[in-house]
Amino acid sequence: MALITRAETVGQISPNNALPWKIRGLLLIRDQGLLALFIAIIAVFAFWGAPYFLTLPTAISVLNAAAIASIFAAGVAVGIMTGVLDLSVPGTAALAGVVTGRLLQEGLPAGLAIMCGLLMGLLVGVVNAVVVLRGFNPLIVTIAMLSVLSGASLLIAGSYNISGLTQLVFMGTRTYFGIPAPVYIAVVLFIILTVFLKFTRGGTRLLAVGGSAEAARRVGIAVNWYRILGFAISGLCAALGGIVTAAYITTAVPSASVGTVFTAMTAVALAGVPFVGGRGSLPRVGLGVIVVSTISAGLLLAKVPADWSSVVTGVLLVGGLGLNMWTTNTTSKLLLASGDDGAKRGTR
Amino acid sequence: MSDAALELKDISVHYGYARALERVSLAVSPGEVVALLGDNGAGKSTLLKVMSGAHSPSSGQILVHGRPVDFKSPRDASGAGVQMVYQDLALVEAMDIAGNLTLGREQIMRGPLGWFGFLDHKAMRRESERELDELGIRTAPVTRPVEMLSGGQRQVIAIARASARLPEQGILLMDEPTAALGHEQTELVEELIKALAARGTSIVVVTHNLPLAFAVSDRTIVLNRGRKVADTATGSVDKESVIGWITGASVQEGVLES
Amino acid sequence: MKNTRALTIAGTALAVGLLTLSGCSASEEAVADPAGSGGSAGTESKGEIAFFTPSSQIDVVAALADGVVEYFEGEGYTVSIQDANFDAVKQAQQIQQAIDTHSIVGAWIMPVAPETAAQSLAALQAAKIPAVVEGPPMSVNLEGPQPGIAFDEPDFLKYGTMIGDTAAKCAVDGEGREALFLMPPDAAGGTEQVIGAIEDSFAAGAPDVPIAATGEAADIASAQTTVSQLLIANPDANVIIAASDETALGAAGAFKAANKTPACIVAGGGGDAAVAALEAGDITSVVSWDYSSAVGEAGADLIRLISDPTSLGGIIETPVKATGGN
Repeated sequence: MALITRAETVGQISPNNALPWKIRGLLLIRDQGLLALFIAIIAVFAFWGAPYFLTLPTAISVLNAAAIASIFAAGVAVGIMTGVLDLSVPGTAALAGVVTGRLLQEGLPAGLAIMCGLLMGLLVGVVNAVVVLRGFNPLIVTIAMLSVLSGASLLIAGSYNISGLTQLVFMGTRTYFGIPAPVYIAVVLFIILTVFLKFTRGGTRLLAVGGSAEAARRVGIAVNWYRILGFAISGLCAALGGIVTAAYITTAVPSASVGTVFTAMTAVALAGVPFVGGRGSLPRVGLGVIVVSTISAGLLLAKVPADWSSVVTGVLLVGGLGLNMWTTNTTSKLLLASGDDGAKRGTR
Repeated sequence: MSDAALELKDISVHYGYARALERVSLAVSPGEVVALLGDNGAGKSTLLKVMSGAHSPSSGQILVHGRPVDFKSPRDASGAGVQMVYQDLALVEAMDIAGNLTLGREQIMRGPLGWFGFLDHKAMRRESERELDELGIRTAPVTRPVEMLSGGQRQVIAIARASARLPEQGILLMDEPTAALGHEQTELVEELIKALAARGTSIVVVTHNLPLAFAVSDRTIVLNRGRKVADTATGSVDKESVIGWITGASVQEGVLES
Repeated sequence: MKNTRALTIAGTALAVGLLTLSGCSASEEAVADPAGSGGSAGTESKGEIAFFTPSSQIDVVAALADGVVEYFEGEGYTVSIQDANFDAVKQAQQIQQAIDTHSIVGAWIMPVAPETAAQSLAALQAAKIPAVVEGPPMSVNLEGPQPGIAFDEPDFLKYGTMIGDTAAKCAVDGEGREALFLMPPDAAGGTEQVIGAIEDSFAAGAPDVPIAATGEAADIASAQTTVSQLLIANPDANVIIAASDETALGAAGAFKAANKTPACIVAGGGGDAAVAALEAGDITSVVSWDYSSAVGEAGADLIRLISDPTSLGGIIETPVKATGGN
C-alpha cells in the first residue's frame, strides 16, 4: 500500500504514462500545423498560379527570397527564445551592410570587409545586452538602438546608397549547382543554430535562461552571460542578413528597412514560437519564412495586387496564433484533468 | 548536539530597528525531519533565507556538520551541502524532466564533440532515471516536458532536482512543498520526504500545513515574532498546543531561557 | 565578481566598436555634410532657413535638400534640415517649435501629409514667416496664390506622361516585347495620377508592347525578388516601367541575376543611386522632377517674401526632365 512504488521502468513509456490520444493529437496540430498549412498553400497556388507557380525556377526564387528573410528571422527567433524581442535588427542590418560596403569601397578584401560587418553586429548585440542587463526594458533599449543605428548608417554612407558592390556577388545572386548562394548561407546558419540550441550545453542553458531565468540562476548558471549570448547571436544574424541583402542587390542601403523585422516576427509567430521565450523550433521558423515567401510569390504569379499579400499574411498570422493558443489551452486543460488522475494511478 | 547536520546558534536578523529574528538557535540531526511552523511574519522565511544563504544574519553562527560556515550566497550554501526547494519550484517549463534535473550540471560527450560542448543526452537521461529510481519515484517518462506534468509531479521533480545535488547526509530546505497540491498529491510528497530522510538527508520543512507537519516531521519548531517559542518532538505534542504557540497564546516552557 | 568582468569586457568591446564607427564616419562626414550647417565661416548669416523634410532617406528629397542648402548658403543664409521621419504630427510640431522660438526667417516645407499641413501654414503666415511649399495650393486646401507662401507645383500628369512616353519610345526602338510595370506601395501625393498617366501614354506610344504584369515593392531587395518572380511567369518581358528608383534598381538586379538583358528600364525618380545606375548603363532612362532648376526660382521668391512677408507668393511649376535613353 505504499504510496510510492519502486519503479524500475521509470524512463519507459508504460501504458500508464503515455499521454492520452487527444493530447497527442493536439500536440501534432501544434507541431505540424504549419507544415499542413504549407502543403495547402502550395496546393492552392498550384492551380491558381498555374502554369508558372509549380515550377523549379519559382521554387528556387521563393527559396532565395526566403533565405534572406530567414537569416533575420533566425536572429529574431533566438532573441525571442532568450526572452527578448530585439527590434534593433533592421538597424543592425543596415549598419553591417553599410560598413561592409564602405570598407569594400576603401579597397579592403571582401572577406575582411564582411568580417568587420559581422563584428559590428556582434558588437551591437553585446551593447544591447549590457544596457538591458542594467535593468532597462529590452523593447525600449532595442528601439533606441534602432534609432541610433539608422542614424549611424546614414552618417557613414553619407545618406546615399553604396552601390556597385560587385565583390559580394559570390554570396548574393551567384548560383551554385543551380541554387543561389543565400540559400546555402541560410541553410548552414540554421543547421549551426539548431545544433547549438538542441545539442550543446550552451544552447540548452540559453533556452533555460529564456524559459525561466530564476530556475537557471538557482542551479548556478551565470544568467547574464547567456543574456549577452542571446543578444549577440541576434546581432550577428542581423548583420549577416544585412550583408547578404547588400550582396543580393550589390548595394548597401543605409536606411533601415523596418519591414524585415516584421516579416521575421511573422515567421516566428507562424512557427508557434511563443513570445515569452524558452522554447521554439528553428527549422519551423525557417518553414514559416518559406510560407510567407510562398504566399507573396503565389499571389504575385496569380496576378493578385500586392497589397493582398500583406493582408493574407496578417490573417494567417492571427489564425496561427489563435490555433497555437487554442491547442496550448486545450492541452493544459486536458492535462490538468488527467494530471491528477495520473498521480492517482501512480499510487496504486 | 555536536553531531548535528545543521546547527544555528543565536541567529539574529535586524532590518534597522525591525527585528526579524531574535537569537534563534536550532539543530537538525542527520536524517531528521524538522517542521518549522509559525504565523505570517513570524520569521520563517527569513530563517529559511539565512539557512539557504540568500540572506546573511546580523549576528550568530551557522554550523554544518560541526564546521562553522559563512554563506554569502545560495551558491555557498549549495557548496556546503544545503539545497533548497522553493515554493515556486523554478522549473523550466519547456524542458523535459531530464533537462530540468541535470540543468547546470549537464553531461558532456566524451571526445572531440565534447570540446564544443555537445551534450550526452543519453547519459543525462540515464542519470535522471537513476536518480528518480533511487528516490523510488514513478513519474512520467523523463523525456516529458515539465509543463505537461501535474502539480504533484512537478513538486517531486523539484525535490528530486535539489536532492540530486546533495552530498551524503546533506541538508534539504523546503518552502511550503504542498501549498498548491491536492490531497492525493500531498501524500505523494509526504512519502518522498520520508524516503529522503530515511537515506540520511536532514530536512527542514517550512509550512502552514499542520497535518503535513504532523505526518512527516520528527521535531516541530515554532517561531513567533522572530523568536523560537517551541522546539519539541512532534510525537509528544498535540495540535492545540502547537496552535497556541503559533498564535502566540502560549510559549513552550523553558524554550525562551535556553 | 563575474558581473564586473562582464561589464569590463563589454565596455572594452563597445569602446573598440565606437572607435571603428567614428573612424568610418569621420572619413565620410567631410564629403557629405548632411545638415550643411557649415555655412561660410566669418560672414554674418542673414538668418536661418529650415527645410522640413518627410525623410532624409528618400534619395530625391535628399537631393532637393542639398540643392536648397547650396542655394541659400550661396545667398548668405544658414540652412537647417528637420526630418519628420514620415510623421505628420512630428512635422507640425517641428514647424510650431520653429515659429515659437523665432529661430527661422523662412521655411521650405515638403509636407508629410499635405491635407494636414494647412494649419502649420496658417501659423507661419500669422508669424510672418514666409515659406515654400512643395505641392500645389490645392493639396493644402488653399486656392490660388497666398500671401507669404510660394508653391512649387508639380504637374503629375506631365511627369507620368513623360515616364510613359520615354518608356514607349524606348520599347518601340529597342524591340520591346512585353512590359512589366513596377510601383512603390505608398500612396504619396499624386501617385494615382502618375500611374494613370504612365499607363495611358505607354499604351498610346507602344500599342504593340502590352503591360504583362504589375508589381509593387518598397525597397531594392524586394523589388529584385518581385521582378525575378515576374520574369519566371513572363519570360518575354524585357521592358521595365518603374515608378520609383528602388523598383528600377531592383529590376536591373533581377535581370542581371537571371542573366538576361532588358531592352529598357525606365525609372521615375532620379535619385543619386538611379543616376549612378544610369551612368553605369544598368538603367536606360531616368525621368525626374527637376527640383534643382526649380530651387533657384522658388528660392528667389522666398528671399523676396522674407523682405515682404505679406505679398503674394508665386506658384512655380516644377519642371520635369528625362535623362538617358536613346
